[in-house]
Amino acid sequence: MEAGVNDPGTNTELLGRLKTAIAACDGRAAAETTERAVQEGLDPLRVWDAITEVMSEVGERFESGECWLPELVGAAGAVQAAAPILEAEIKRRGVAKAAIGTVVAGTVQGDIHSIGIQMVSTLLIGAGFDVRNLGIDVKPDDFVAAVKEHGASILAMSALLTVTAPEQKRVIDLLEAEGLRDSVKVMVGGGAITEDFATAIGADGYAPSAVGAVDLARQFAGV
Amino acid sequence: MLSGYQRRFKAVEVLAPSELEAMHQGALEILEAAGAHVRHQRALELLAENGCPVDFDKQMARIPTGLAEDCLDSCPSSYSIRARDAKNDVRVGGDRLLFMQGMGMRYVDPDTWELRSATLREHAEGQIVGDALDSVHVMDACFSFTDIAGVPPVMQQLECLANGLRYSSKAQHHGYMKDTDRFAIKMAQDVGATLNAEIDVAPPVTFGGDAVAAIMRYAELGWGLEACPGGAAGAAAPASLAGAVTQMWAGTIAFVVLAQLVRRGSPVARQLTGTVLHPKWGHPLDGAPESWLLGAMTSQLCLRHGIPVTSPVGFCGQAKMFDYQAAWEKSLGVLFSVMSGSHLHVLHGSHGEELAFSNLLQVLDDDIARAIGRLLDGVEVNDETIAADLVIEQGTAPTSFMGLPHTRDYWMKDRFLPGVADWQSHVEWVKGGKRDLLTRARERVETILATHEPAPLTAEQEGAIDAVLDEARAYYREAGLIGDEQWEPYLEALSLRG
Repeated sequence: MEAGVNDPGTNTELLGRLKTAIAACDGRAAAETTERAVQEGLDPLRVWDAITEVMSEVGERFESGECWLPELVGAAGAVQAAAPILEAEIKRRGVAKAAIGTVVAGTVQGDIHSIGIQMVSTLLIGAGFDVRNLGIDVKPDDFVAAVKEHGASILAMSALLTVTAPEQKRVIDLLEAEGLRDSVKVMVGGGAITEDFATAIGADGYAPSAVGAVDLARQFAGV
Repeated sequence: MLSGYQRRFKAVEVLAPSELEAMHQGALEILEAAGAHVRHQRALELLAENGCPVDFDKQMARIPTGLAEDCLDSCPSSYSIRARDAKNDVRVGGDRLLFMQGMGMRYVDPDTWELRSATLREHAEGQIVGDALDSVHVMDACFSFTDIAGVPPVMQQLECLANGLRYSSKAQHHGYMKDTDRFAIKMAQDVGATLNAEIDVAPPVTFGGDAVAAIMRYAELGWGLEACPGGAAGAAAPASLAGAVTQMWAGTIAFVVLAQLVRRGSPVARQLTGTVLHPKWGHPLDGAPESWLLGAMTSQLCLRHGIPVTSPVGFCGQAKMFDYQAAWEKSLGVLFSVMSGSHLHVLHGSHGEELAFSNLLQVLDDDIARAIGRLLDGVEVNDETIAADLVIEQGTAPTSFMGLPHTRDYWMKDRFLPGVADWQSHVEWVKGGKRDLLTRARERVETILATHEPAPLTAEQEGAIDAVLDEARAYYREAGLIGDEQWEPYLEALSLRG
């Protein structure tokens, strides 16, 4: 049977609606459509692919100046509304996402700047990564716990302030102490960070922009 | 119609009402006691017929206060300038702000900062760029480059106006001198446009014969007139700012009287002329705050009497390069002037005390004009924009408004974004090759010249303009104002027009 509206595995009409909802930053519609997809028995991995596709499109529109930061963040918010539903179904079926890597992301403790890490997370999702954005003011313990829990291959940390930048080293030190340092690539960024600082604290890479962060993550993932 | 920008708040006032009234009374006293020097027989007769004591030998007319105030009352508070394309018509007055292309004499080389005569092709390119910029509402083809290589002086304004009509469909500004206004009017009529005419009043309160003839011609047509009474403080006017403004206001009133006696209801705007001078060298300082104050004081007088205001205040300062000094002189001067109520502001392209005009500056000034226009447009205040419910709903930190529909609705609403100024992050700027402002301005000019196509004239209109130019050339050759030695270089300049 040809894939299409009658194929319970794909249902292109429903996936199209999901993509439209995400592109329109409509979290409620994205969640409802995902719920319906699960009820109709759509392949959750195919649904995740659709999310990746639309986030990639949003990222491209953002890069070319066709849309602005609130649309980028709004689309990511819609994905966050849909993701728990989809992840529960993936877990229930015992399948694995075909992401090119899992990234744990967040802004370090004491720093409540969220825009940068939101942009990075959004573009990483669009690039095919499975991203766990822990948000702002994230404690070192929480970073390390998330890396463990999700088996992350990349840890992306942001710090906008010179006073909070040293927190990134504390996280790296804790990864060392927990014996996780060799299993995860650490990338750092944010207004206070420079290439020299990144090297000095033992990070694996530094990206000065959200787009640069995606390039770096792809490099780490070998794609 | 091009609507320009709207000033949504009260104009800044620099004078108390009693000070304003005292200056107005001073001007009336000057006109009644000393009068105006009018070097035009018919105008003197007209003034005499309307009750002015006139000394025909000395060409002096004293203007009674009753007549002066009656004429001020009949001057409309707004008027239209018709463009050759009706969608580009403008209305000067009210709470609208329009920008006009600037004036300047020579081409400025941005590599050496030296000045030279411009070519007709460079002038044409100036018109194409002005036509392309949304923040230019009125063109000043006749004064953007007033030193065109090979073109006899008497034909400069007319050749430049013709270029302006060819390469722009926006409204045009013009001048006078040696009857050129006769030909300019005919050219404009042939393409269905009117002109906004800038006419001088020599200080103190003196009208040359050419100026009066032009006032009469334009007033009979009901086209917009701009009174430009000179008044360099301490030279041709009192050194005190109040004295200079009062004397220039007397010149303005006399101008209004002349125009109203020719035709009641003639639109007359006041151009905010007058500057302080360099304390040592004596040249005008357009970039001086005192010059800006002269403009603001005059604006306040004009607004009180319902006279529209055109303003070159701050349009060029003393900077010799397109640098930090040029930017602050222009931005502060123009901002102060539009906040104090000017309606039509001269800006784009002018440089260095009117010594030069530049396409690079036209695009740089586009950023200034749009940023100032955005400021005047103000802010919208209602329940939705106050958004108190939203703030309550979001709660305290950590929270973000970034992904909310309200943010998407308002993020780009009425937002200003520069066309040339660099708002990228430092990182992106480094990655992009650290391009400087002039490099970006050059690129924007090149893009405009490569892509912008002004609405063309019809073949009939082209032919009519050429015919007027031919008539003017013959007239001025006959009058001896185009010499034989000028003719060949003139033809060569025309052949290089492109």
